[in-house]
Amino acid sequence: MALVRVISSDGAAFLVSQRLAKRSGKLKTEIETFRKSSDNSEAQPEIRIVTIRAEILRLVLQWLQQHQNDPVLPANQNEQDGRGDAEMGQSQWDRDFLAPMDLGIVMELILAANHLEVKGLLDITCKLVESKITGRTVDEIRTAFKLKSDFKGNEEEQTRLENRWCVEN
Amino acid sequence: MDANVVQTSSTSITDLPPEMLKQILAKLDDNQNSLLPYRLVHPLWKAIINDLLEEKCLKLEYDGCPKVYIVKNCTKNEMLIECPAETLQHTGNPFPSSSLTLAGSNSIIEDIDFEWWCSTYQQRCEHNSNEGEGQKVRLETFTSKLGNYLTSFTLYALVTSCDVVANILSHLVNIKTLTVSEIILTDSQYKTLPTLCNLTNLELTSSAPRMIFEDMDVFAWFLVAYANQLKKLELHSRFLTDPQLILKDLISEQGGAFNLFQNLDELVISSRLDFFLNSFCSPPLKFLTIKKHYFVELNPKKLMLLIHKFSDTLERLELDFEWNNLFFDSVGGTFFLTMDSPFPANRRSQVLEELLSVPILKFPKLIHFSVAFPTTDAELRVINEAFLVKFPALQKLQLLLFGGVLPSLQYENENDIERLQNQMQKLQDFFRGVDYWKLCSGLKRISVLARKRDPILDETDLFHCLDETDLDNVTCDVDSGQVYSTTRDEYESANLTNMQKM
Repeated sequence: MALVRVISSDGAAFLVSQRLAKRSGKLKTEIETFRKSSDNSEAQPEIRIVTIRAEILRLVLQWLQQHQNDPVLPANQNEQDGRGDAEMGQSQWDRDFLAPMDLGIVMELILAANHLEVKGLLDITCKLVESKITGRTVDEIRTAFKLKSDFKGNEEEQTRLENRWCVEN
Repeated sequence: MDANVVQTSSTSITDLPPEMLKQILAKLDDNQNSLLPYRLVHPLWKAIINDLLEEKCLKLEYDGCPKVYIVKNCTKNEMLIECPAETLQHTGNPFPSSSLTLAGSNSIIEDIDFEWWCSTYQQRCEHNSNEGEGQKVRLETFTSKLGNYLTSFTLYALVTSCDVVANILSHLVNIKTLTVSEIILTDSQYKTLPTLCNLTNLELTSSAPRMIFEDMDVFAWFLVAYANQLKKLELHSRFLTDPQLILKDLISEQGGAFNLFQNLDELVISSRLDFFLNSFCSPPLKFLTIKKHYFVELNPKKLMLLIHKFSDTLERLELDFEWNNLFFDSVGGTFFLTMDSPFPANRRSQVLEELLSVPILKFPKLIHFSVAFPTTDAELRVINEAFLVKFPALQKLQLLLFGGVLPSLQYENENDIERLQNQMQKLQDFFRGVDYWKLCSGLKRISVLARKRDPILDETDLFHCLDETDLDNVTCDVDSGQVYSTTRDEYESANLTNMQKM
């Protein structure tokens, strides 16, 4: 089985099958680039991911392992076509996978899935964030995401008036 | 992984790049107002949501928001609107989506005496006034102060003069999208409309039952002014019956027909189809959506011959109407062609063969096709033989299930749940019986979208006959939504599994 070494930003190396790694658009490109530039067809590619730490990379690879037989979703999936949206593809395993994570880890997973071009993982993590926003008040959202208001002067009040103007009509 | 271990990180939503946050916030967009509250969370969220709303308005997916009403409608100088007092003191752009609707009334009533509606317009406007809440301001003052912030603008249910309309537009120097919906002009002094250099999207809508000539004059007035700068045009009118009457002004203005709409690449139309599909003009259309049309003789053969002029450029074709709209000639839609029809079998067969006898036409760039879900053999044959074989590059096929049930909604009623189960079963059976994958070698995805059924069809169209199936009896309460989707990968892996079992 052809393997690839994927190395995290903090130096941890993960040895995974190339078949699995190629389910990430980014890793697939890197492996193909390595193949073209390497004289030795048996050589094992080594890919450094300088933006993703080991704990997050392990989670991404774990998700890929679980979903290795799913169809690969194109990165620019048409929204109206729907498939690729989390509600179409989220399994109980996905829910269990995300359950113990705090929002900080979820944000790191979003960034990692985006960087590595793993559309399915990006969909379910974005969907989780969406669910933490939907139906909540402004204060609840700020608390959940540890956000400060950051509006200058009377901008917040002005925004409130603009909203009211739109909604009333 | 130990599911009980809580994993934590100090990374925050503020670490996401704005385009990622935009993707997340875009998914919260249920309707025009659903995003507004989230503008209060953080200045970055506000900026992103403003962009999202503006994009929707520019694409004609939303009407301009907020809406201001005419509260006094006398002469040009005395036309008053009402808006929050703070708006006029606002520093910068007071419009969240850089859009606005100017309305004479909150709705236009289609089925009452229309002359009465117009004669009571003044009272209707004054009724809009909400004492003590907003500030009344001259329309001229409002548009001259704030009009330059707008990129999209809607005129709705207004009874006014040509002069007032031209004057309003003269202040909207930055608009890219203009919607003119249900306006009635009180004179015919069609002065030249102002130059709007950025205007590329125009929607003209009229549904009121009135003299057709008024619609044609209004439509022609705008088209003469902006025809050659438009990229997207939507035309919706029930009673637009003679397109050539509109085109005559346009042709004389432009000194010939052949360059008309030379930049138009998207057309959404629900009036007379031959308005654009005749020989007068050949815009380089990429996207064509034909919605429900009225009193127009159309069949698959005619349609293909009409749109063939766009075959070199067309990438997406959406036939967003029920089957009877495509079988107008055959008296009673597909009813004529079904097995229960009282017409002789040989006559049915003769009509169907004639409808399918489309000359060899190809649309080499067409990758997306939408059409009503087929429920009869005749409809299946039309999809296969009149359409799909002409689209060698097709990648996406959308079947529109009028009256379909949405699986994403939470149903509590047992009948609804049963209908949903029946629908899913029927869809699965259907896809086992058809083989679009073989017919279109490049096809990647088939999806089924639910569409709201037009009540006019069910209640008043005496010729229309629905199949008595569960699919037809259920009602879709929303305008659109996906009920089923499948890909070539799924099809191929299912085939592989079946072969392994054998």
